[in-house]
Amino acid sequence: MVTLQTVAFAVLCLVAVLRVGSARSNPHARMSWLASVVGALALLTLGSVIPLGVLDGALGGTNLIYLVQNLLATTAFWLVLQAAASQESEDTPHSRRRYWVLGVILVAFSVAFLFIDRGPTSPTFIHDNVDQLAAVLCASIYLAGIGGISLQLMLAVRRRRLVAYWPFVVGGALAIVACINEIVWLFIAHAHAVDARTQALGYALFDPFFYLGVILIVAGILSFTVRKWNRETQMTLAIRQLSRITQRAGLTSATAEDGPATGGPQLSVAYDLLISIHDETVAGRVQLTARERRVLSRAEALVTRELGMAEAR
Amino acid sequence: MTESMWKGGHDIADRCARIFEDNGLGGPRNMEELVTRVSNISGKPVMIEPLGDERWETITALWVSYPASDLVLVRATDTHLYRTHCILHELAHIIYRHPGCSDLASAEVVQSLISDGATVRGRVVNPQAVRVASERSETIEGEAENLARLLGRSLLRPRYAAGEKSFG
Ligand SMILES: [Zn+2]
Repeated sequence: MVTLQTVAFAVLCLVAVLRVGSARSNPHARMSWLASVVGALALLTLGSVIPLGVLDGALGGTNLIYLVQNLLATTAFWLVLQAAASQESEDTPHSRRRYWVLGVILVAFSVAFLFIDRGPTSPTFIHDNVDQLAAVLCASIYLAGIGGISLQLMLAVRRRRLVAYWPFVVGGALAIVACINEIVWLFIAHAHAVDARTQALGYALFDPFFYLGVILIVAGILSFTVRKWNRETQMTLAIRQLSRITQRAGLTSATAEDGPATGGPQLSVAYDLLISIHDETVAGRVQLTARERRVLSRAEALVTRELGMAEAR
Repeated sequence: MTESMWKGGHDIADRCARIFEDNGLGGPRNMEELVTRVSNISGKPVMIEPLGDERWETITALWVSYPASDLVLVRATDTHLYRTHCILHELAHIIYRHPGCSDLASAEVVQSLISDGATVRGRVVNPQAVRVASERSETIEGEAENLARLLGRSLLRPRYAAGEKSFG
């Protein structure tokens, strides 16, 4: 399924480009941004964009590209997990154990890979060599790693609002199904338990599950980017409109001095403007026009939506 | 330019920032959690009731301090956001342990609420009243308003703040 791989690659590239700005300005966003870059590179190694012969040829034409692909894909999944998990333990120091887990997975399938007697470049390298236990183990360790990380990702977001985090849950589940399916069929092939047609059908299940899972997880990430942009755009507009009211009415907006603001400066500015306008209206110093009242209630709805609604840490 | 209703300045801002910090007021994520925190600070339960209406005129909220509890009254006719801010203003008085205000105790809407030993303070948005108020009273109101704005900012976190931080 070249198309799904290409779509996933395109989506990851798009996300990486769109989020360059926030990765630069917000250190917390870097993990997930890096995940999209590494993930895009991993998909690039599949050969759907640049021919596999070219890529693997550059590495000596002995399917070393397969190892590179596994290293990149595992790291990308792990980075997404770190981004999601860092929300959970915002105040606790970064756990070293996490790096160990990644390291163990990477080393384990790399060692197995070295034991494979590899032929010339092949897009179905593992399937070609399924008679070798090393090949089956290399792929299985890699897939078990991805599946395990996906499971941890699902667990990391389990207490969050499903309405926003469902793509991570469903995407993670699809990836797990894909990985388990592939491991099972690798062992079936190794044992020559079924005919070639059934075997091919079993293998064919991997791509739709896995790449739809990847696309969903990336869409989940992107949904937060879009959500933030959307709110910030609306807030900028609301602040401009509210300021027009206070200017028209000749108000000095009483804003608290720069204090511990957690909701971003925009929400604070809008909040202060709204309260001042209300105060002046109650005091009878300002009469709002019908249009201004509409602007006020629209802006107020935007701010009220974020009041006391933050997700649990 | 219209004169600001609330006294400001660096002294007040600094005091508010310190009180905010010292009492861990950035912790609560919603009004419920904040009220619990405030009542831990004051050692008395805090009750909030939307009781008043437009007949209160320029009184947007009242704080009645009974010996064993604190009662915050706001106007049911105001919007959710404005009401929230007015509650925060009264909670700020409680956190500050501000004294009651004798001027307001004589107001008609207030009298029925006061029993023995209760003191009262109101959030009055009346420029005239501010001008005749004493310097001390102006400072008290400025402090409460400033702290209320810090509290408001603290409650104003994007709904998916954590998600936006990692994935935004
Ligand atoms: Zn007050």
